[in-house]
Amino acid sequence: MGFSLIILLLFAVSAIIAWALWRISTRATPNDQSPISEKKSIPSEPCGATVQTPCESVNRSALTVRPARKTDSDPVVPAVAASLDSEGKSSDQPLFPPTQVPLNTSLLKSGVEDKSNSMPVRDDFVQPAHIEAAVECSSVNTPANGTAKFEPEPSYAPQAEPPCVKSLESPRENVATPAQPGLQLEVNANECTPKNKPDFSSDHITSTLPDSGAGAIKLLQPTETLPAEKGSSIVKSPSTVSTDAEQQKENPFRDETLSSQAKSLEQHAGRIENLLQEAPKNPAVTLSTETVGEVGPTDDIVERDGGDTSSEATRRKPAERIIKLRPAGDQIPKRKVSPTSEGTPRERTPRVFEAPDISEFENPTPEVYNTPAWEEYRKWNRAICLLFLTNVRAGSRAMLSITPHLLATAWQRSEGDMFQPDEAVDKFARSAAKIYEREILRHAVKLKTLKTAAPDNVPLCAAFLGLAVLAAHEMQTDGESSANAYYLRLARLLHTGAESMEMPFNKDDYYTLWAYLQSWLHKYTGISLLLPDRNEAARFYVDLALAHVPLRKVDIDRLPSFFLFADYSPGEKPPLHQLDMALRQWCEGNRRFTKAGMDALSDERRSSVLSQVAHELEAWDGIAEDEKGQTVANIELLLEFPHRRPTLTFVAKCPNGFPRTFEIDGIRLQTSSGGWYQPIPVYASDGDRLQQGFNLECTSKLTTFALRRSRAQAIAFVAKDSQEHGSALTSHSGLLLGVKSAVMCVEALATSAEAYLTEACGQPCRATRPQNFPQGWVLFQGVTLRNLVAPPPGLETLAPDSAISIFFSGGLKVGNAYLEGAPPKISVSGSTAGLFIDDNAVYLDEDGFVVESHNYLTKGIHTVRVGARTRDIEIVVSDLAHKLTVHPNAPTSRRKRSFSTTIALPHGVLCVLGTGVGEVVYARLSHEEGLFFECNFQPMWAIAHGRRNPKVLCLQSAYPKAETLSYQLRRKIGAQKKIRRLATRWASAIRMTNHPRLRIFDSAGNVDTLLLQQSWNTFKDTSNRVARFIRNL
Amino acid sequence: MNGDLLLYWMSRLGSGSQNKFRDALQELADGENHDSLQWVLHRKLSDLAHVDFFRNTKKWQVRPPILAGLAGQLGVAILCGARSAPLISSLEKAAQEIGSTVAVETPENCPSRLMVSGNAQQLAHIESATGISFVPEYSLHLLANVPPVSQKMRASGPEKGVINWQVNIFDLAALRWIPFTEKLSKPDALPKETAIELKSKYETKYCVTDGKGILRKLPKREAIYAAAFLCSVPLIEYDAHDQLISTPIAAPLPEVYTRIACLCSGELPNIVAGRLTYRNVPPVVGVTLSILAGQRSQALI
Repeated sequence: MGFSLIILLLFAVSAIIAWALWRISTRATPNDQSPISEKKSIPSEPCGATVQTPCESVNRSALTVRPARKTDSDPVVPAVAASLDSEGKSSDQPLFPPTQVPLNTSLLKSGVEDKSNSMPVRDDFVQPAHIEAAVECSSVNTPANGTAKFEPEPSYAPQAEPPCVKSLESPRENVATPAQPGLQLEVNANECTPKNKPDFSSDHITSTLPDSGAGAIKLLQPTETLPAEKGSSIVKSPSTVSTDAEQQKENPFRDETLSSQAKSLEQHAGRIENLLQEAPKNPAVTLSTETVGEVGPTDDIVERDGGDTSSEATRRKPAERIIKLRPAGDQIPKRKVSPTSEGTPRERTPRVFEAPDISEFENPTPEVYNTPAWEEYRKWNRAICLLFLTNVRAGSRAMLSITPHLLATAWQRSEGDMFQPDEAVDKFARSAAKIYEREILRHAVKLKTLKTAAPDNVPLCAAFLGLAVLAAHEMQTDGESSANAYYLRLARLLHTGAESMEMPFNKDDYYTLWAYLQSWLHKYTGISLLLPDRNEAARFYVDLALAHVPLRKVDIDRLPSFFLFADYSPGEKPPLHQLDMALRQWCEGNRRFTKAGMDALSDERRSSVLSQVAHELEAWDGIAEDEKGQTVANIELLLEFPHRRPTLTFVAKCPNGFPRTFEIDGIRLQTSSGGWYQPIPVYASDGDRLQQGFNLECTSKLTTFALRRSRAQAIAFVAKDSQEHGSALTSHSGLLLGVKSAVMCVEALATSAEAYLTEACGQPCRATRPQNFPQGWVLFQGVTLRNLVAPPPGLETLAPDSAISIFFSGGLKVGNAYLEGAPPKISVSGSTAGLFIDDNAVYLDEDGFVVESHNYLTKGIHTVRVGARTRDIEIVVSDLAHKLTVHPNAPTSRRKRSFSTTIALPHGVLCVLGTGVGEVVYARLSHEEGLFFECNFQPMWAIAHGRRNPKVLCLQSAYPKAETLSYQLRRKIGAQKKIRRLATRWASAIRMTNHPRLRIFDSAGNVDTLLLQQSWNTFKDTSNRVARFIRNL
Repeated sequence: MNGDLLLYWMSRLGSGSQNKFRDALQELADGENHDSLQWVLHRKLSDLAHVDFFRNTKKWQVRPPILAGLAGQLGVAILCGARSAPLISSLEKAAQEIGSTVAVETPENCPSRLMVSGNAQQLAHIESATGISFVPEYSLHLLANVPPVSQKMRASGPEKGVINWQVNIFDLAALRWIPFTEKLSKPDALPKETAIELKSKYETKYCVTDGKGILRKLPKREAIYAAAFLCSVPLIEYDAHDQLISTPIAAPLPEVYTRIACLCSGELPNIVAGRLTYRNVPPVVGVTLSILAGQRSQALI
């Protein structure tokens, strides 16, 4: 019995010792040794959360915890990122001791993520990466909404390192840490900025954990998992599959000084690996899996699953800390999996798409393309192809970056008419919608109808796909729909009337159109078209269009300020590397675009952004707001040849909102029609101003306006389609192939310009220095480019434009038509092969104009065609303007019939008489130079009364006779008092001349001739009868 | 240059800017001196009441089509204002129907002159058939709203801001502009009762100084006649016997007066003995124009 008691006692003691040892071995380091251990316990409600880590320089108050996405198939899993101490080292102790919550409740607050406290984003283009290791911890008590926020703890805050780093940063190298299978560490490139994060040479880091352990991966960027060596995996972002050199090229803003920070972040990566290696050793820590879902380009939320059961367990055991890390290697699901009803994950196999059918659709009824609806659509299609697809620099990628402004420009260049941007969009959308409704939907092959280039030798689908891009361009939050509502906007543009959020047409057909366009361009022009790789993401079809508008409307509206900053002139086509450099300078240290715009500028879409900016610059009209807040418009140069002498003038457009009268230090510019201000002559002393550029600021208005001329060393002049300036040559951003032009350049470049123009024209070009021409400048006249030659440095503004264009210059234009008998001169740039007016083949003369075009341009609408390019011209006969129109057989109003005049006679004249009874008037005004009589009758006689020498003067060359006193007149005199009074005056005036010395004159100086006396006697007789009649009334 | 085409184009537009007009001239008269041609066409189109040109707004406006009865040739009317080829066709057709005649003359650098002959009834019929208004003795009709030069001068406010402008003055004896100063330092230094031409780099304006030396802005021609009025210098000569009114070439009648004088005969002035001479101006028009221009005419008394 006693032995038994001893044995029991020993067993109990050994058990207690064993328990104590176990406790000691499993207890964490004392809390006072680790900053983490100092933290208070956090609420016990489990919640999935990831902690995003800033870089070393970030303000700790900006640390945020972001929730994992909670979906039905994806229950919330509590997650907390792995932590480091304040010096960036991982704690020696297990991350989350069983009895101690690693985060202070003051650090981890519940609530919705506070954007204001989120990591500050700097708007540079540096692409720092951001490792975010998400370690799921069931004991982390966060609110149900899964949002928690870290705040700095004063007790451990002073160090530079984050006190409780929940995610790590790593150099941007595509690192796959060897021999550590099982852990993936990835870098989020979207949320870090150079100010608070170092640059990375890779978007993520991939590491591994031992198979015995488990890791949790936080993926914040679209990635794809590449096969790696067994037991490990490499998570790769498309943007990171590049060498350092390529990345450096892609990201010119990368700062080499950040390399040191990158190294430190590599250390962080190593520490977190060590940290996670330690985790399996701790029995309190278990590892769970995490599945990285497939996300769209703009998504930044990791979809997780597989943590549902542990989540439930955590709720039952809130004090138990479990770190769940996903096993790597072959066991890592590569795609999004959804749980089955039994709770086990079900993996979806990736869909394999068939290659799109990019063969040409052969319409059995090609004549259908000649209907008015198709004709209108084809015009838009040609305009879009001309500007966006065929007008692409060598080596560049074509983009359908259609915006309203560019659309209007495309139409203007193709058809000649200028629309307002909104008007262009409306017309374009109506045209495309009409085709969609009437032709595409009713056709058996639907969208495949557009898979042809037959009508115009350009892909017919370009305009339709352009409409899809236009819908993407308009994606921004407005009062009606959210920013992501793409299909709604597309449906509105197509006028389908549906408010659906689904794609209105077959997705495969839609993708096929893109593929066809890409294939056609590559095959026939050698140009590549931006086309994302196809995948099964829900928003892939949105991304097809979005890829072509990396900058949305709100960002594009800011581009004119950049153009001003870079001192570009409208229509300029700088080399892309120069544009890139200028854009970099403009954005340096400033947030110039929206976050989405800045992201596009700093990732692989940068080249697309540059293409879009180049397009906008090409279509820019020179109007912008400068740094001072002034509204600036551009000044053009006009070159005319009055008296065969070249004369330069400055001309500026008066944009909407600009004052009609523009006063600049003694210069008063006016515009009557609101089009252009009156020209300002260019003097010889203006040479330096032309070279350096200048601003003319309006001084007459409170609101500041300015006219601007950018600096230049060489200026090309071409004949533009301008109603205002007729056939004068206007400054242009380049020289047109085959069109008579002129060039002026500074004398320093005269030699190189002469050599270049001689080579490009195929004939000698000589510089001249005309009289009164700006000092320091020379002029080349009669320049007609024949060869495509690259201009030498300094003469980039004289680069030839090889695009095929049809120009109408001169002529008498009435509206959009030309007056019959005065048609314009027609010239063609780019190519002259196959030039027709209607069906008549025509040719160009030496100056590049169509020979005897007026023979074909009679009344009606004619089509000028060169290759695939066409342009209509309307000729109208003379007619009267609307307000001048006459109306035959219209009754003439009495008022119109009334006669009145004012005559002036010398002093001495008393009154003026007419032939009718009562037609008498006395002087209305008496000026120094004479008397003025207001007559509503034909003045016949003037009576000059002199007591001694009365005179009667006949004012007409033909001697008049007085009206007879008819019955009707008698009745009038008897009935109407006014007429009776006038008749009395008339008769009295005549009877007062009854004087023996009366002399009767006529205008020829004849006096008292028989005819005169006979004429006057008729008046005397009538007056006597009138007097007698009135007396007898 | 095809003046008809120019007037057709202007009639189609109705109105426009001077720049447009200049460009149209350049288009129609390639290789000619556009500046002088523009000046000539301004004068011709304005004098024959086709187009009004406005100095202040630098615009032009075509007048409505009208059959202007000639004050100096009763029974004859001239087609003024806007025109088009269909309108002329209808006019010729209506005249042919009623038995009147349409004479067409095509002077150089000027629209064709269409003169319709007929009595008042015939012209009224043409008016009804074509819709073109017929106004007998159109010159007298125009006189109704013409203010005297002296009145315009008094109505004009004092002109300021002429310091540093180049100044030329009109010598009424020599009948030419003579330079006064390159840079005007004091406006008081300007001679009184003189027509003044003020030039700057960007603008030229005309004024007349009254008896107190106050500058009053007037159109160029009015300024000369205002000065002549103030100085009592005769510039206009009216021959009532031959019904001729003439002015010095350097001092043509103000534009409106010129139009009135031209529409007496339907012809532009000729230069006779170094003077611009207008034919068939009846006494009532001739005397009125003289008095309106500030000339103390005693032709009739």
